[in-house]
Amino acid sequence: MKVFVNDKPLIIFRGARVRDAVWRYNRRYDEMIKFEEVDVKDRWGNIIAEDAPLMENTKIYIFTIMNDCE
Amino acid sequence: MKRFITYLLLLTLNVFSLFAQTGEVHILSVNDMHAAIERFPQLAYIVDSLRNVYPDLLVLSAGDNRTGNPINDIHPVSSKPVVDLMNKVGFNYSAIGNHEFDAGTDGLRTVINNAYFTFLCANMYALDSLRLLLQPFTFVERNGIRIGILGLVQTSEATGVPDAHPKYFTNLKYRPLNEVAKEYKWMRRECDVFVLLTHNGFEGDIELASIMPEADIIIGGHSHTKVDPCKIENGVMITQAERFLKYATLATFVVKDGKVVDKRAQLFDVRNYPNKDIEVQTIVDNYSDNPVLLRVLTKAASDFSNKEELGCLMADALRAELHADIAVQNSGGVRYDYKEKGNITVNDIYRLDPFGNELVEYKLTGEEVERMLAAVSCADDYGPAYVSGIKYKIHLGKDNKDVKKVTVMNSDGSKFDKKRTYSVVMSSYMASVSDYEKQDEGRNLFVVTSDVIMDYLSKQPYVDYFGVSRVEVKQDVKYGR
Repeated sequence: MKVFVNDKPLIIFRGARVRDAVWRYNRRYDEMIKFEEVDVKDRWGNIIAEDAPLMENTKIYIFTIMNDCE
Repeated sequence: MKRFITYLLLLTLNVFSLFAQTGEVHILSVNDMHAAIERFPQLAYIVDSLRNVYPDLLVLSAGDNRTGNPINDIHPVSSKPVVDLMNKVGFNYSAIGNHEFDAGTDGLRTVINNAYFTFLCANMYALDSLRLLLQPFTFVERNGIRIGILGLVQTSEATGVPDAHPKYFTNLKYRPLNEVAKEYKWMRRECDVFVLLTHNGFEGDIELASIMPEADIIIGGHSHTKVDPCKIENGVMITQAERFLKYATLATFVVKDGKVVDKRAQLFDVRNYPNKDIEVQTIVDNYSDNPVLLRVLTKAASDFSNKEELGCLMADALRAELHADIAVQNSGGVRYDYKEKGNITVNDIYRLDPFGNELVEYKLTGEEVERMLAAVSCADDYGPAYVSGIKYKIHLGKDNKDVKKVTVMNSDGSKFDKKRTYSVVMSSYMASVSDYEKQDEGRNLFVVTSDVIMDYLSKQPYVDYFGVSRVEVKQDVKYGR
């Protein structure tokens, strides 16, 4: 199925979750998403959890959370 | 005559008041709790406090009460910890989520029978012989106000059933949620507040609101969306409180003369709530002490002396349980590299495979299998993957990332048919990060890898992987490995 991450179209397996699409978009988010260092939002700006299921043509956006020490 | 007129007037007023109530309705809702039992003490405190102020408070769940915590999910009585805690807190109704089926229809029946609350689902049809005591909808009265609640669960466009393993849906039929919802528009006429309790995802609920303006609120789940505190779409309030009991949403409806004249919502931060219900904390502590994690699944006849032996065991389990031709386990997903002989417990498997990844199936040709193995090797910093159903040689160049050649053989060393199509299973992580040319887009099987491995091991009298090796790595000498 096709989903969009930061407006980039990606083909991913049916039944994929948010974290799968984020990993597909860029594997460097592997650890970051596990440790909640990124926020993922839907096209309405709502935060969605990393294990949220995706549907065909869903659009999600990745936001990096800045740590206090950064 | 005067008495008769007074009586008639009183009767008229009574009838009028029946259809024209004035007051407030309060509904606290959660969704996708996924067995986060550790947050029930806070939730119980919040519910008790609210009930002191609003004795008629309704407490609802929008589904996926289970799956996500082994203490609950492998309890001998299906989902007993969560059901006990929901009973204790005083939930009134729950939608059916796609994960309610994760212990099969037998497990769901046990949950329904043990629950003091009622499950609502209008677009699922079960054979009478399954004895799943569900209701499509309900009408309840709170504070003299009549509330209609309709339960609905999402179905996948591709499969026509909720997102879970198809094996769970034998003897169950589903119809598309939106189609069924429209058939219940009549409920609007029979109540003052019309609630859709859905497990449909936020995007799905937006679409539902566009065709169901009759509803006052859609209390949703499934997409784990934090809607803070609500969205109004087509005049319909939509709420959802992420997952794992991090939050709960309190919706208030002001009803005057039988009509909702005001509605508002508030998101409670359950996770950081400072107070806990002591009695509920004791129940949670008792369940957490459950020796379920120490349960022995099987025995290892000899030591596992490296990651490959453990990886081959994992791949064998995935292949056998999913009846696949080939299973692939990425090296980085094997979380320890030594296990002494003796008991293998539930806890060992959660440590070995702690990620909660699901299994994805592809139909791949032999040529695609070779490309997949090369791609997985490039994507995993820990090196080539471990396999079941085949053996392979991989020739690596610079930095382990430059895969020069992959040669696959059948398990017995015979020639691998590159033209045949194979059923291949791998974790959702591997499926996501490995990029290679293939025809099949793949499908989530909605089973968690660690659960599958435990199912497999519990059927084995013992396992012995001493010296098992199925990957031969050739590295250009110049670069070393």
